[in-house]
Amino acid sequence: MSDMFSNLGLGLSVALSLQNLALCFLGCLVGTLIGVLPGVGPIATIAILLPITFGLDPTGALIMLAGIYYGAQYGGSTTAILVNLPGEATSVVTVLDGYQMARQGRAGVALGIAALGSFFAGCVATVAIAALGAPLTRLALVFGPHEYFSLMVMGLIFAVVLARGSILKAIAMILAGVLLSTIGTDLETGESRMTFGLDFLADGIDFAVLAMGVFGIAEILRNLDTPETRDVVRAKIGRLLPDRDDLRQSAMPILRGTVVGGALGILPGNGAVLGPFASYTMEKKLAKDPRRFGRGAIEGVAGPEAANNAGAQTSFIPLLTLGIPPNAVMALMVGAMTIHGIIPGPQVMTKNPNLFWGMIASMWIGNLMLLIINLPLIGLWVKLLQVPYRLLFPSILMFCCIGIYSINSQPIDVMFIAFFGLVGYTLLKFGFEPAPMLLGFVLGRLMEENLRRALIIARGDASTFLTRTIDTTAFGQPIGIPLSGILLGIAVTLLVIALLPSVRKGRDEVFTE
Amino acid sequence: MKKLLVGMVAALGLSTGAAQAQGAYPARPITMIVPFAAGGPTDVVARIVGEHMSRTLGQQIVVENVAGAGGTTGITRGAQAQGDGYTIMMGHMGTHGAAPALYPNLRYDPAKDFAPIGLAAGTPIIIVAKKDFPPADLKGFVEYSKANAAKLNGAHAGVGSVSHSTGVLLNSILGIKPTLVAYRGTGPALNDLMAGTVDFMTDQIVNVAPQIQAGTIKAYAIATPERSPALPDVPTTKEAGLPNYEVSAWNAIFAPKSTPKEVTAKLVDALDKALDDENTRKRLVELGGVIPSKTERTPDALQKLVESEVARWTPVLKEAGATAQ
Amino acid sequence: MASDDNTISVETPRGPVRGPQTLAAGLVMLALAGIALWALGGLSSGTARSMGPGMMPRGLAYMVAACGVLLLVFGIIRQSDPIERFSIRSPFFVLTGILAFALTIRVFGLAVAGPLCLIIGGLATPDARIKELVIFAAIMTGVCIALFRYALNLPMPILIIPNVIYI
Repeated sequence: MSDMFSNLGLGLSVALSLQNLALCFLGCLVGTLIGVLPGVGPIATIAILLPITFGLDPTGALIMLAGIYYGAQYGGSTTAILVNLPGEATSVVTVLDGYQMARQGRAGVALGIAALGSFFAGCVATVAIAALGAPLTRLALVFGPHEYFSLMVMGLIFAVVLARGSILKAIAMILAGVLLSTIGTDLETGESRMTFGLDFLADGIDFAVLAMGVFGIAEILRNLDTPETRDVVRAKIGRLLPDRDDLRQSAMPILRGTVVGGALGILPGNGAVLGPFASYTMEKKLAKDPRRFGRGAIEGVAGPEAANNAGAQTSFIPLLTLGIPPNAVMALMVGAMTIHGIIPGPQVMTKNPNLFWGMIASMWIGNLMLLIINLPLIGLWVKLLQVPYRLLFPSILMFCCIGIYSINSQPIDVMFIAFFGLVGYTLLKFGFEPAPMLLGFVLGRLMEENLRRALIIARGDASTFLTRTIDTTAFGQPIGIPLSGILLGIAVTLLVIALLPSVRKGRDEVFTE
Repeated sequence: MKKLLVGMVAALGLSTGAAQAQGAYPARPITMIVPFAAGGPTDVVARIVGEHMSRTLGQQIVVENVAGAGGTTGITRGAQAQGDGYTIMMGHMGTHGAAPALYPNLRYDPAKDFAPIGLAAGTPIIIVAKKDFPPADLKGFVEYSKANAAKLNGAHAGVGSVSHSTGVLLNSILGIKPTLVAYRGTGPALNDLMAGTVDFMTDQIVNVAPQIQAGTIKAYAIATPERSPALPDVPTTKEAGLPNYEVSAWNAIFAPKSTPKEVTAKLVDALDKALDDENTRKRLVELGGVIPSKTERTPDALQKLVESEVARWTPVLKEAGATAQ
Repeated sequence: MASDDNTISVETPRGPVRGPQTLAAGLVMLALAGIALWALGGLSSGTARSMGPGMMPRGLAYMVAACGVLLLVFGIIRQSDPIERFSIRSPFFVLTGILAFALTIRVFGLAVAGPLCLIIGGLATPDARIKELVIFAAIMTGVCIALFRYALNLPMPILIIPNVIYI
């Protein structure tokens, strides 16, 4: 314990230098900005800002880049709440209730609770990294393909719970999402699957393109169909910040979200994406009246946002302690570190304690800065909603186009948001919801890859998912824990719990919640 | 707002003037297409070299990441760009060596559709294995893998990746067919190698060096003629008894075929100066990169390298049955 | 696709939706499964020992089809909401606006693609005012150029007039 405090003290002394404070602030500011702009993600921005950091010392540079990363996570929820545009896989869930809150004139409350929840989660996660970083990395190595497959199955079951309308339609959407994720070049064999001979499909469909189409563009089309409801948002502005009641309702969800999101963030292979989904599922199941979810329940924003930010912070653990980047942004951080002559690996903590602890301390400072940057901005964001819709929607359109184009400089990506916008619009007309499809899409690819990997390693024996054990010791005795089997068991239980109430309600409502 | 608009109009006027002056090349920023995602080894090399080249040329080199299809998407766009010197690209072992075998519908010919500028840096390939893999040295590795080929699991970062191509080459030299397990990128593959889920893989030094230094995985040999200063204890394949396995993930700059000679000459010169620069060299070496000698970095040498690489990879990859598309 | 009933699509109540809408939803799923199976062609399914590239997508396509059949059955035996009216005007202008951006960004740059997208897209609503849109587009394009190109330094062309300007 005292070690941790002396380490954090060292970190604070590094992070509190005037230059590093300024860089941290700059990173948070840029991160918030790109998070708010649809499409422009942290990947493109960090890549572009890399050369600018050449002149800085490595610690300062990384503090700034890390600020951009978690600043973007913060900012991403803003567009999700205001205009139904999830910038990242992790903010899909925020859309569900956040956007509904905005439509009810509670945009300020939603933004406020998202900021406060994220701040709390960020603080807790930072301390967790400092205290448990090294031992927690062992967890990352425990998760092999088997466990990952089972975890993804569990995640897909969450998606069923996520649905608010017909369960049958939700299942159809999840399956369709997984199906979409298989488009592109096969990882194992290099054969192309369902690409219709089109080059640009060789790498599959980009998440940002799909999400922007089926959420953002489709929502614009739907709003244009209903002129009498769309300007309602303008009329009602309501309170700008959460009040005591809101805070009381959100306290436990934020706490639970932090724990769930933080734990999943440690996993390699982008386990952090599951965090918000898991938190939402949990809150919906724990709620006295689950019907409020999807209609503007504040818990549905507070929990997932906390989970999202906790995961964003803890996903630094595998990078800093193992040198293994768990997702694309972290891979870029590896690139940034190598450019500065620090090759991330298990030895960074001992070889560069200033950098390691300085970064961790700066994360806490960064979270505080984000709160300070974001709370006053809420008023501004909410004012944006007062722009007449006839001007607001074409601006969103233009920002989407520029943002998507900036990812790969490919005009075809821009055309695809039009295509998926039309698809999303059609699906909405037939009573389908896009959220389960997106979750299926995100988890589907991870699920298939790990399924095939596990089966190859087990030489085709499917029972491997139940029998594979993780060896550890408890009370001095070596024991094996069938982690993969346990996860599958949880998944089956969840599915039964999700289906039972509707089955019991009688034949009429078998497939509706 | 008004000020901004006025400023923009003024800026427009200024740059029009500059363009109309049609001064010597380069009169405006140069786009360097990097056919991979930002942050990867090729991207890092491009940014380090590009930064110094910008200073020599007096115009900024802007890196544009056009990722996709093992790098061939970006190179295809580069090959079709106007040959005015304002679009150049960073190709590598995959896009200009392995691609013709992997992509039967490839829309460029690595040896014919480009004006080579020069080799920028090579990254050595290392044979690594999980830390409790029985063999003690490369000789032992060869014997063990031949005797236990059916049991072995080799990891790679996806068909078309450097670790896949170089792994297939190793298997073909050893004459073994281990089970191949694909990962999406080097990170996840290394994770499972550290956990012992898979047995061995081949990859670029920059990805594996920290793990080797920390002892979480073990290295058998480095596939270059000389040892790397980053890992002085790792023997070369020649020293360790597998001289046929010599391979490096090289990165090189190309321009579209139609680029005029006087323009390419300037680029060649800028690259040459960048690779002579102390600071640039230091940065590349820290990455484990090998800087080409004066003779290796000429356009002619690059042209020869491309031809020999295509000839080398095609039969190996075809035999392994690896195709994309 | 369009139905001939002329209910102005009000925000439909969430919850149970059966009948024509469910039936159509089933058809959409069946069509999706059909396209997927056709696109998969002869891709090998492989064995459990080494799953082929076709196994997972093909299995999924059959499951999507099964959902489609179930929806179809429910659509036939249960009455429900009518299909919401599809409008033509808004999708047409919105999608054309996006396509205009995609087609012009590399040829003429952001200064042309941006306003084109905003103005064409803006016409999607009947209460669009041309003059207002044009002025607004000019301002927003300026903001975007400042923001994306200069503040964030993203590599995208601002204005290209062949042989005259390239910025």
